[in-house]
Amino acid sequence: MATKPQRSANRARPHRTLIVFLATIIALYGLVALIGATASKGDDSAWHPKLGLDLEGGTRITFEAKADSGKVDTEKLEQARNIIDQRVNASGVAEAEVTTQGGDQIIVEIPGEKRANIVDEVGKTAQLRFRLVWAGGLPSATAPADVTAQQAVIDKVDWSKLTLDQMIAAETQGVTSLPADVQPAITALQQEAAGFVCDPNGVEVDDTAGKPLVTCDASTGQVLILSPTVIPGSDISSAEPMYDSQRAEWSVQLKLKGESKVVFKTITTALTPAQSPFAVVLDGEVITAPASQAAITNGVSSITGGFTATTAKELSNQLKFGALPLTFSVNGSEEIGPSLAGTQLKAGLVAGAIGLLLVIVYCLFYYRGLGLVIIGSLLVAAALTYVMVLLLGKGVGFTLTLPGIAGLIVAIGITADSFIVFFERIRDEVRDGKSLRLAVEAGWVRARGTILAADAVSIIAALTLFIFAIGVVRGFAFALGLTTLIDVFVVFFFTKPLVSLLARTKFFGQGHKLSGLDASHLGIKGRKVSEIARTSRPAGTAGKVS
Amino acid sequence: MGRISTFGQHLYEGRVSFDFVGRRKLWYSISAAIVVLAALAFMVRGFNYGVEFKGGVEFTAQVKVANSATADDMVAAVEDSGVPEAGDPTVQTAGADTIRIQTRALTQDQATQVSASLEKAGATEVSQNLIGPTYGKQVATKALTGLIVFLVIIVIFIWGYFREWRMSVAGIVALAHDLVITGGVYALSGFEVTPATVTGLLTILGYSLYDTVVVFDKVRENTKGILTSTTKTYSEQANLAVNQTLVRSINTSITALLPVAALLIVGAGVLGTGPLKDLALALFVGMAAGTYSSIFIATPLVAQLKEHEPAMKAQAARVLARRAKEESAPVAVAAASPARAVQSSGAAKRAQPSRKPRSQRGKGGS
Repeated sequence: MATKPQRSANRARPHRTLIVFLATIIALYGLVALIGATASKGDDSAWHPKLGLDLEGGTRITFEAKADSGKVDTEKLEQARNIIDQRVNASGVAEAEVTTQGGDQIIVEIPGEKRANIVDEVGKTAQLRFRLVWAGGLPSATAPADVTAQQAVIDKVDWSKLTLDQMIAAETQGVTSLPADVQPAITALQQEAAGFVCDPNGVEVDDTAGKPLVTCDASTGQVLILSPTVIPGSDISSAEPMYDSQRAEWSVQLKLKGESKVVFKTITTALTPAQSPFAVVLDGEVITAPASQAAITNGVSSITGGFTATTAKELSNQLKFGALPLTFSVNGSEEIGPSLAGTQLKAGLVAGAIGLLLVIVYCLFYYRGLGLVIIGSLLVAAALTYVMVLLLGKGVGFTLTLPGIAGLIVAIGITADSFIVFFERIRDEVRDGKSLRLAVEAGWVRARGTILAADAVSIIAALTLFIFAIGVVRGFAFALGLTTLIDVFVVFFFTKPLVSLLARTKFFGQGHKLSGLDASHLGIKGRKVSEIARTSRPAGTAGKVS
Repeated sequence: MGRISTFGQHLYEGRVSFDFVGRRKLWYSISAAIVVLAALAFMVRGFNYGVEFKGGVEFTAQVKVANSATADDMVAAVEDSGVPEAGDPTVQTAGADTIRIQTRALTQDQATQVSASLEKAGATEVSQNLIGPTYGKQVATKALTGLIVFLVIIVIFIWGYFREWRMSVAGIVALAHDLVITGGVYALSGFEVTPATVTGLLTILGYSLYDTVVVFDKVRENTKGILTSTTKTYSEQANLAVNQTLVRSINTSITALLPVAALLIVGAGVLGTGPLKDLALALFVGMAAGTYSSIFIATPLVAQLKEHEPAMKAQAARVLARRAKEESAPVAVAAASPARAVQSSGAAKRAQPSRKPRSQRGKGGS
């Protein structure tokens, strides 16, 4: 083994490597401090890991999809998940996680404090539809009336037979222009509207695309009779809040796509002369009923009417993300209180602390002075892990969950193993007759390969888990992969240089009794560990019989 | 302490040697017995699947003080609800004033009935959550996909790294062994199998192979150039490797198991329920089995497979021929225990300081 030239080359290196490595860690913490400094005042989130729902508390809402016909297909579910995801994040809820589950469910996890309106905000998952206003401005009833009989009449009519022109005529010329066979249903609708109570906290109606709808505009409290859907919300290609500086007011710019452009042109052309309104209905509730003020030929229109920046944004979000390809019902809404979450977090931290302490005690007991190196390395690894968790939380939104903490605790053992492999190799080399200084270098060369191969297995495991698994498993895999990488860094750039340096000290190099490297501790007799054995076999044959 | 280190020294030099490879039939039988036991446990008792797997209803209710007395009240309330399907519910306290009750799958009407009964017993704000059995299945299915991909990658990795397909095979066999045993412990202990358990099982994959790779690395080092050597057979070198890494294996398993044990104790003792406990048990058993299988299963299996190779057979024959020659030679001092020469580790023949005559070696061997 050509340790001699290597050794002289390494001579200056350990210091430098150590300094660079520690400086890197300090720089990482500096980066966190920088992020913390640029954040708004009083926001010290940069110094706290992002916690998952199970540790921080929060709300979990389960939506169950119902396809209009047949089975829920995964493509539509994924589409819906994307829309809900966008909507949750657009509503300003930070870092909500939206996942599909079990083929027909969508789980929304919103960490953080309980917010009463959150379910409503996210729960508006139903369909967005454009309808014509057949009758508007009706007063709200004071008590709800039983309209079962009327609904039966309405349900019996085949509304799909009506043409767009007929429906428009019903608005511009009155419902009497509709064919005679639907007139009984119109009467039923009017009766239903008369008994309709407009609840400002939200209305509950059965919003079906192909049928007329009696509902109300919660903001005005007026009841409306609406036509069957003329434009489905899925035909909205974009909706953006716009500020018109000339008129000094906010509006929502709306773009339609496909066939609906033509339909919208027809509608607006017909409605504009009388400035008649059309209604945008979300989840059975009229979110806006703007009057048509110009014929829209290119499918790009703007809705105006006393918007503020916030309401314009809200409406555009509703328009943009309101159109789900599936109908959802809230299947469950679970709130994990901060106290339960706090208990879990505390238990995890306590377990981690106990585990670390036990490992430290064992290492000191067995490796004595070298145990200090293990403790130092573990602490450096812990510091590095913490700063990475902070940075990854900011950078890629990594949240620490309970399984993630478990992953970190498990990693204590795997990290310590790298040091054990290294130290056992050093001891083997000393037993083979090398002096301690030579043994450190020779042992390192051998241990290095083993550590890398073993850690590679760990990383492959973490990666495959992360890619293929879902939910809790992913957090665990991420934590495991992260700590394994950190282990490699620590053992290469901290432990090894440190041991090289220590081997030059009298305490370790001469094999002091407490160093863990003394001759009797290693079980060798007749020489000091600083000496090369005279009967030494040729170097490089460790474990190989001559 | 000094003794343990001296022990390490003796293991390293082969003065003390456990015959891990030679006695493989014994280890195989022990493992086979444990595996059969685990499989039986699984068949007889089955897994205690968590509510995520079997589906069910989870009620969350506010109570004045969440303690074991109120928990008992809630169990009684569920039993009194007149829904036999809801019998034997799992009750957990969650925080200071919340109680969580899990029952088997119920219909909507039955769930409402149970809710009413809970409210009568003093619980407020009873919410019910019907969990379909698909969630756990989805986690498990995804995990299975991950498992298969992982196994394929790892077989290729070990093959590529060690240039030895036999090591891939032995590693996978050891892994399967660990997983079956862990599954058996779950069946026996009746711990809940939840998505967290699946996580634990998947971690064992990584750990078990991690440990095996460390041992195999030493085996590879020891058996380098074995074909030109006539002093030791592959099995003997492999056995020496296991012995030489034994101290490492012991230390590693202790340092790895200590934090997991802490997790298990805190998870089971302090929290009483939840993912920590489920995860920790899987890890504890799996890691212990992983260390065992690296030593007692994986390495002997590699040696066994390797010894079947014609080149290795020839090499082993040369080794034996040389030993026979040495023994018959009048100069050899091997008279002490010629018959045990193979069984006691051949490492004893290594160049040693002259103070140890050959006749004193081999004690503690085999």
